[in-house]
Amino acid sequence: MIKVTNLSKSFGNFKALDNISFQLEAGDFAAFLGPNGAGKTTAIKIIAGLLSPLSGNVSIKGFDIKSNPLETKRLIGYIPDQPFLYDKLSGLEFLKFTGGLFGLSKHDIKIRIEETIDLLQLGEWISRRTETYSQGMKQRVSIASSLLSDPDFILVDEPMVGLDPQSANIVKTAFRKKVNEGKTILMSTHSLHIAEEICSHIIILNEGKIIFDDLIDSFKSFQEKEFHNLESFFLEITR
Amino acid sequence: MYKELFHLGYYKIKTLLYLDLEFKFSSIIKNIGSFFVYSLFIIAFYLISQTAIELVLVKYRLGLFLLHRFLGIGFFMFGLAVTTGNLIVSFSTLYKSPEIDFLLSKPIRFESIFIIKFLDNFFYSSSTLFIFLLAGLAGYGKYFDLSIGFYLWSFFIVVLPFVFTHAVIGVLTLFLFIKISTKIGVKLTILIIAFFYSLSIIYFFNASSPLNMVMEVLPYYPNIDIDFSFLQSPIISYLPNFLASDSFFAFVRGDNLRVIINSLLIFLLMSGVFTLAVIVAERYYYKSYLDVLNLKFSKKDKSVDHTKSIFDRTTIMNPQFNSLIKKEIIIFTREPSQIIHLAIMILLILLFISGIGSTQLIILKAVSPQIQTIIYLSILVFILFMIIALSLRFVFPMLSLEGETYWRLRTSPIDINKIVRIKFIIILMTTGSIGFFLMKFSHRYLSDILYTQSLLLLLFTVLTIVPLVFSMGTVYVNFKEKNPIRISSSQGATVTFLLCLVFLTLVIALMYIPINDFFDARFYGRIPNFETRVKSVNIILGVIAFFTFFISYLISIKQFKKDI
Repeated sequence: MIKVTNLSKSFGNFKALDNISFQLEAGDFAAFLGPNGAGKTTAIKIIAGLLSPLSGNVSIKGFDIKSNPLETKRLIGYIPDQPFLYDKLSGLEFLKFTGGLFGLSKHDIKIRIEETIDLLQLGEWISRRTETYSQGMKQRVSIASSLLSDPDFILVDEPMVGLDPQSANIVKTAFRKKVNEGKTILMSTHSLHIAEEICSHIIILNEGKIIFDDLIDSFKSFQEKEFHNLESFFLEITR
Repeated sequence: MYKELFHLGYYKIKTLLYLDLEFKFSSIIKNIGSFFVYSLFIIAFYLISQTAIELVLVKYRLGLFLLHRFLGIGFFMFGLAVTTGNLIVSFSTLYKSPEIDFLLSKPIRFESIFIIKFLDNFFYSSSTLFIFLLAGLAGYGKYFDLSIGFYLWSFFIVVLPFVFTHAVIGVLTLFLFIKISTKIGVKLTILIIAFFYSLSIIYFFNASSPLNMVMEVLPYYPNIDIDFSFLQSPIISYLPNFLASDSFFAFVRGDNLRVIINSLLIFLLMSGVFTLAVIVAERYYYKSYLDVLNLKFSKKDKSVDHTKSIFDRTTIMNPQFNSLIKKEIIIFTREPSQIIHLAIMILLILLFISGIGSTQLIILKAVSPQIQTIIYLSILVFILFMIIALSLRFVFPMLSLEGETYWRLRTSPIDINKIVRIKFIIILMTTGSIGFFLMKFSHRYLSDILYTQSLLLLLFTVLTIVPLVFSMGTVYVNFKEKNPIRISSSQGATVTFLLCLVFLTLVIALMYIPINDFFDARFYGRIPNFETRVKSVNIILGVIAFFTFFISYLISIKQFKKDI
């Protein structure tokens, strides 16, 4: 479904990604783990079309991101780490704006907005300008806008930052629902327990290279052999 | 308080002194380009100031008094611009910057925070201005062959306090604005302040009309270098702009006592308004900060009535185009600084239109074709300058204002070229329409031939300036800055402004001879050969417009697709 092949990216002399490759299938929920500066956000931004790779390619459902950028973007829902929204638009207007960008009809936008408001429990705040929102509310609107087009592939960069336990639970439930519908999620996170709790696949990046890429059960079995917990195992392999 | 000020000032200066050197090819080219453009304009300002003095004193023989009265009018307009600019920029630095939130959470006196932020703001936004003022002063001093003492005195004792006084007036007006807004609402306050602003301009130009001054002074010819201030209202003479220009006049005449008195008055005025501002800040700054927060979060202002939202209106446009256009409109109309500045510009346009009918009649009745040419070219300069000002203020920040929310556009299945095209369509149509409106009104009594040519000039200017400013805005993009005024007063905007002035100078230089010939032929009853004469001008400007448009379009697309 999504195939990343030999992806590299440098910023000046710093090699952020060094020839990484991985593949995810429909219904996979992959956690993208790694220490700060490992290259997770860079990889996610390249797949989302925000950065251009130095080399390598990304294909989603057979569409290459370089030759078919619009088709691939139509299949992706990108959720950034910082939920930047237009301050002067209300949450509802932001969702309508996003629906329009994805070329949805007015009728579809209305139905999808109702669904996502319900899914992410956005409530009455949706009618107020986003400049008055808390970080958590902004994050939920940002997620709602990315799920609005019902994308097959959801890219998430640190979704739980700034979320209270209730909001985090709402978001996790929404992601699980999407995976059950056959969507694929690639989620960058620093939280090992969230990865363990909801993900089916683990990819670990360190210094721009993939050092682990397998199912969560395999990750756990490695840990159980020699380490007390996931944290000490993670610290050891990313040392 | 002094200890606090010293501490804050020390770290402020320290952060300013850190050089942010970036050895990337594009930034080196950008910096060399900026340096080149700045240097060119400093030299140009130096030369233009000398040429302007020579024109008034030698070619038109208007004398020293009128020269300095014109200088005083220039100071007045300059002072108004500083006041207005400072009022708007201070709002973001004193109320919307994260640094203020940080400082207010520390045990520091409010007036210390105010002083440091005000000075920071003043020197940040005025540094370029001072460079050009110095170039102008150098030209003035060189023309009159004045000593080094003049430069030191004129800059530190006259110009700097003059600019500082107007910046403080801007902040005091801002305090007043916030205070009144809490009582009667923002919109009504804007209307009241705009009313008094225009009233003061109208009063000033009625009381010190340049045309009336010339008429009153010329009967004394050839003794026109003496002090004619007795011909005017004494109140007018004590305005800071005339105090400044009169002290220059006194310096040139060697009247040292007058120089000292006027300089002292300017200095006292500056000290007075600054002391007043500090006292007001001590009592009101923090309260005004809370008032601004209350205004910002008042429920009435922030809830959106979705039954009236333009997003829900039926349209024949395709969904992507529809979304982009409506987003631009909503964001623009809900940003107070955009609306306030637009209102000020519209006010200026209306003032221009109200006076343009009589100016056209002055052209028709003028006693020489040279004067007709100069007045007509001044009208053209105003209109083209308005296109430049509108572009710099509203077009330059367009990509930066997408801000960090640009991820939404970039990750959507929308062709970036389409976004650029949509933005181009909006800005070209808006500035073109305003320009057309101004040209139409300014040619009501003038020849159809001039009107047709003015429309062609407008077309070339819009096709050159607007895309140029837009693309420069994409080159100097700053996604982190949310304030459109700070974006349009950044270094990149200054360089763009100077490039626009090059174009404006070229247009006027190319048009001078055909226009002069036109009025000359009309004045002496000959048939003007205008169309033939402007043909080559139109070809040159057309080629420039064509290339600038396409190069700017390509640059914009490249910049819109850059890594973010």
